Order: sequence, then C-alpha cells, then structure tokens
Amino acid sequence: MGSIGPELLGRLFDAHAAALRLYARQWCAGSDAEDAVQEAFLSLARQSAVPGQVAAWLHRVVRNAAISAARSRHRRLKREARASSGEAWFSSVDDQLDARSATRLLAELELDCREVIVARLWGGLTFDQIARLQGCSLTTAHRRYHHGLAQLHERLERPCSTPTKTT
Amino acid sequence: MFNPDEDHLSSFEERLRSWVPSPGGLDRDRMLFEAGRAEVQGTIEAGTRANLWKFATAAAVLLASGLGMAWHNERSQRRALELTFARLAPPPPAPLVATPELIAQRQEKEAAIDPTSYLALVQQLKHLDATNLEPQRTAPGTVQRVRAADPPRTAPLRPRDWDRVITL
Repeated sequence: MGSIGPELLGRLFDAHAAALRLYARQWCAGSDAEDAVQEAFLSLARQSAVPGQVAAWLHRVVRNAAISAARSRHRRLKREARASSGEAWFSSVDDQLDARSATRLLAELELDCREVIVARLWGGLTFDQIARLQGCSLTTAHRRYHHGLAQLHERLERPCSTPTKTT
Repeated sequence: MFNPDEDHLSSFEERLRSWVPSPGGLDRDRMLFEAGRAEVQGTIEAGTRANLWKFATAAAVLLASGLGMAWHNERSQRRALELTFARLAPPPPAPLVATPELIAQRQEKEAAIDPTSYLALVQQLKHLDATNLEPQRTAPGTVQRVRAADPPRTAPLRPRDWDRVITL
C-alpha cells in the first residue's frame, strides 16, 4: 500500500470515515457518499507519502468526488429518491433531539454554511483549511460558519409550534 | 438572535459536536481489502510498464546500431567503388597549346573547304551585314567567287521566291 501501511490507513479510516461520509452527504446520496469516501481512502493508499494535512486532503478528495457524483443525472435522481426516504445523517444525537430532526435541521441550512459547519465540527478542519476547500477567504469561511450556527441555534431553540387539537 | 461571540457559542458547538455521524455502509475491512487489491494491480501494471519500457529501449538500441552498421557498409562499398573507377579512368588530356604547327593545320583545313559547301556558306554569312545583306568585309578568294554567282538583289526577298531562297 505504498508508504501508507494498513494499520495507519485503518486508523485514519476509523478517525475520519464517518465525518467524511457526513461531509459527502451534503452533495450526494448515501451510497454515493460512501463510494466517495471509499475512493478517497483508496487514493490515499496509492499515495507515495502521507499528505501533510491528511484530514484536509481527504476532505478535498471527498468533496471533488461527491460533487462529481452529484452532477450525474442518474445519481441525482437516485439521490432524490433516497432523500425522500429520510435517511438520518447521524447515528446518535443528544437527548433533546432525535437523529432525523437533527438531519432535517442541518439539511435546511444553505449549502455553503452547512459545508463549513460539517467540516469544522465533525471534520475537525481549521478555518484556513475550510477556506481553501471552498475557495473563499478566511473571513467568508468564518462568516458562513457563524451564520449557519446562528440559524441552527435559532431553529433548535424555537418552541414547538405544532397546534394542539382541543375539543 | 444567536450571537456567536457570546460564551454559549462553545457550549452550543460542543452540543453539536456530540452528534455522532452515521457511518452508513462504510466498511473498514472492505476498504483495506480494496486498497490491497488496488496496490497489487498497481504493482503488476507498473511491472508491465517497466518491462515495456525496457523492451522498447532495447529495440530502439538494436535498430539504431543496425542502421549504423548498414550505413557504414554502404559508405565503405561506395568508397571502394569510387577508388576502382578512379583507377580505371583514362588520364585527362593535356591542355592544348597554340603551337605554330596547330595554327598551320587549322589554316590548311579552312583553305580546303569546298566553296559550294554548306560550311563555306555559313562562313560567308558570318561576314554579311544582317540588315542589308551587304558584306561588311570582303573575304578573299573563294567568297568572291560565290558572290559572283548570286542573282541581282534589286527586288526584296519574298516568301514565295523559292528559287532565290534555294540559291541563297
């Protein structure tokens, strides 16, 4: 496996795979996201040396693969069909919320803001790395992050407005 | 409105961080297996590619050396042929020197020309003027005799004057 041994590759997979899948889900359906993550790790295995910032490198590869997959019409239709099934992006959330609601809240954010939040919170990237990924300035990355967090906070703290049926 | 600069930003971030992304259908062992298989395939392809380069290089060297030997043989054969031809060729003629004997021979040849021959006629025409067909210089001897036989040139020469053309 080049200069990257199976142990290191396994450790990197354990550390980043789930977050990378969540990151890829911003653009494509579950199976395509998993394919993107798989391809990213295979590409990493083919590298002659471990990239300097391996998390940022993996995010970049996954991002390119996910965007490429999302551009395919066939896959887009499949993604829409799967999205309608409401697959949760999280396996567990806090006790105040269920996984589907968390997924819906996150999915309602704008793509740019959502990408920054996912890469920052679950991917563990720095704002500098995120700005390079998105091809924007550091200030823009900060602004998107804070804007997305504010929206999420507002929606999480919003009281339940479901009308109760009274007789 | 949520203010990210306030202290509860970190607590809210921590709450979000506690959400665990779903691994979905990702399989660690499958990934490692695929990586190993890709590495083996890559090694085989790289070996084939390296052998191909070696074969191509050896073929190019052989072709170049063969062409060089053929060129050398052809060149040496050509040189040998040139030397053979040079040996068989007759010696170049000595340059002509205008000796008195040669001049006398040439004058005798010119004097021996029949005055009614074509060569005498050409030599006569060389001495005529192109415009009025009058002789510029009077040639001695034979030329005077030829001119005496010419018809009178009172009328201009016409295309249908076959007799005059022939007797010219």
